[in-house]
Amino acid sequence: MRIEVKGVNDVLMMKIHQDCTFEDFLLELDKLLDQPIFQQDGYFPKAFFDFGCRIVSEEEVKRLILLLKEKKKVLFFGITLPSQQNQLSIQREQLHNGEEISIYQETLFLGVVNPGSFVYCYDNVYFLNRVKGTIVVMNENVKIYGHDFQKAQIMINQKSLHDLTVSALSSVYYKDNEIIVQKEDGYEQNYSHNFG
Amino acid sequence: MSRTIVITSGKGGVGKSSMTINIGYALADKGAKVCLIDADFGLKNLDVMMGLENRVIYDLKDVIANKCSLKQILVKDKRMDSLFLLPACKSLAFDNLNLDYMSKMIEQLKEDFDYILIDSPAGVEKGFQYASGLAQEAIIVVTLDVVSLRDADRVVGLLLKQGITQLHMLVNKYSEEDIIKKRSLDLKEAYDILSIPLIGIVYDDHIMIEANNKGMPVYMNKNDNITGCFQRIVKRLEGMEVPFQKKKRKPLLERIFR
Repeated sequence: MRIEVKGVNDVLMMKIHQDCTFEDFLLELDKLLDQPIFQQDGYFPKAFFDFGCRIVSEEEVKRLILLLKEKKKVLFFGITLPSQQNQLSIQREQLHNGEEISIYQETLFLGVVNPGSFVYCYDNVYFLNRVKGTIVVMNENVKIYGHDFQKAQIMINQKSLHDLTVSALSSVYYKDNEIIVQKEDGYEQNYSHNFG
Repeated sequence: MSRTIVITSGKGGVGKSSMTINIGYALADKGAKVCLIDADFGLKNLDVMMGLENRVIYDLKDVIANKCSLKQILVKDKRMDSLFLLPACKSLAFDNLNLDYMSKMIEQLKEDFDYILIDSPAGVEKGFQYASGLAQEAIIVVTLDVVSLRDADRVVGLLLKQGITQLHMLVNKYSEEDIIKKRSLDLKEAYDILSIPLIGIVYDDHIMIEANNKGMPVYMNKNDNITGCFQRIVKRLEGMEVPFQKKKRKPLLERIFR
């Protein structure tokens, strides 16, 4: 049997073996639903299908539901979807004077941010190269990381930090109405005196 | 294979036109057939600086109006047989120009020339877009000051967006003394800002102003320092690796009794 059935809180958990093809699964499910245990008139157990890390296409889901509809033995309770992991996007371009970019997801920024350019951050950004331009943090929970800020300007929540020059790995974030620059050694520096 | 190169900068007054003319002369001196295009429509610079003002009979407006052929507006230089100028037209507005028409014209010129150098107007407005829209390569002329480099960086971004990826930096008005005394930025700082390869340096020299005023390009003065700079730029354009020109000091007596 390549479908393992377990009862969990009034739901039949149907775990599909990872090596089983979808065609084999449908054939096996077809046979399984014909078993006497499912022949109880008036009672339709809920069935949840656990496909593990397999990605099931829309077409395959439709075929599964059609089979269940045809058999009329169980109620479709759902399927597992592959868990969404945090995706880190990579930005390779160099930003030139006058250019601007908005970043909506966690990003590794490989290019140089030149003076006069703007980066609008909606999520955490890790700058691996020089930052000489302006970083506008659009959400006060966002942190930016970098190791080479050269006269950079940081703006968070309408507060602005001018001429930030740091050449050690640092994170910049917003805390208690202040912009904080925390160096790798854990030393927090408050730049409130530089606010513009 | 013909190459079309736009010479641009963003900031005005850095020496785009001088560089265009002198690179043109240096290429022609090496035997290449060169056409210089003055894309500063509405103004005219190159013909005056090359001393060809009186030889301009037709201009681009006449070609557009079908009054003459493309070959008829090309002005042959009086010193170099393989150097030609396509003069700008003072009365021509960009609205009357069609980029497709200009592109076709460039294609036509490519059949006859090895190099087409386009002198772009200052700024990043329509004139710059026109000039850069016609080229596949760009030489960005800068001086070692922050404003020039920042403007050049803006231009680099715009050129990359237009799909021109072959970019070269040319540092004009280079003064070792200013760099040593920290009055200007140095080449490393310029490279840090632009991140494009340096194709050459041209020393700051008063003879450049004199040459432009007299309509006698500085390359033809055979001044060792300046002429050498342009010869090396041309070699690098052709893919050769050559060291930068070392500035030769004038003999002591000449310095005392200048």
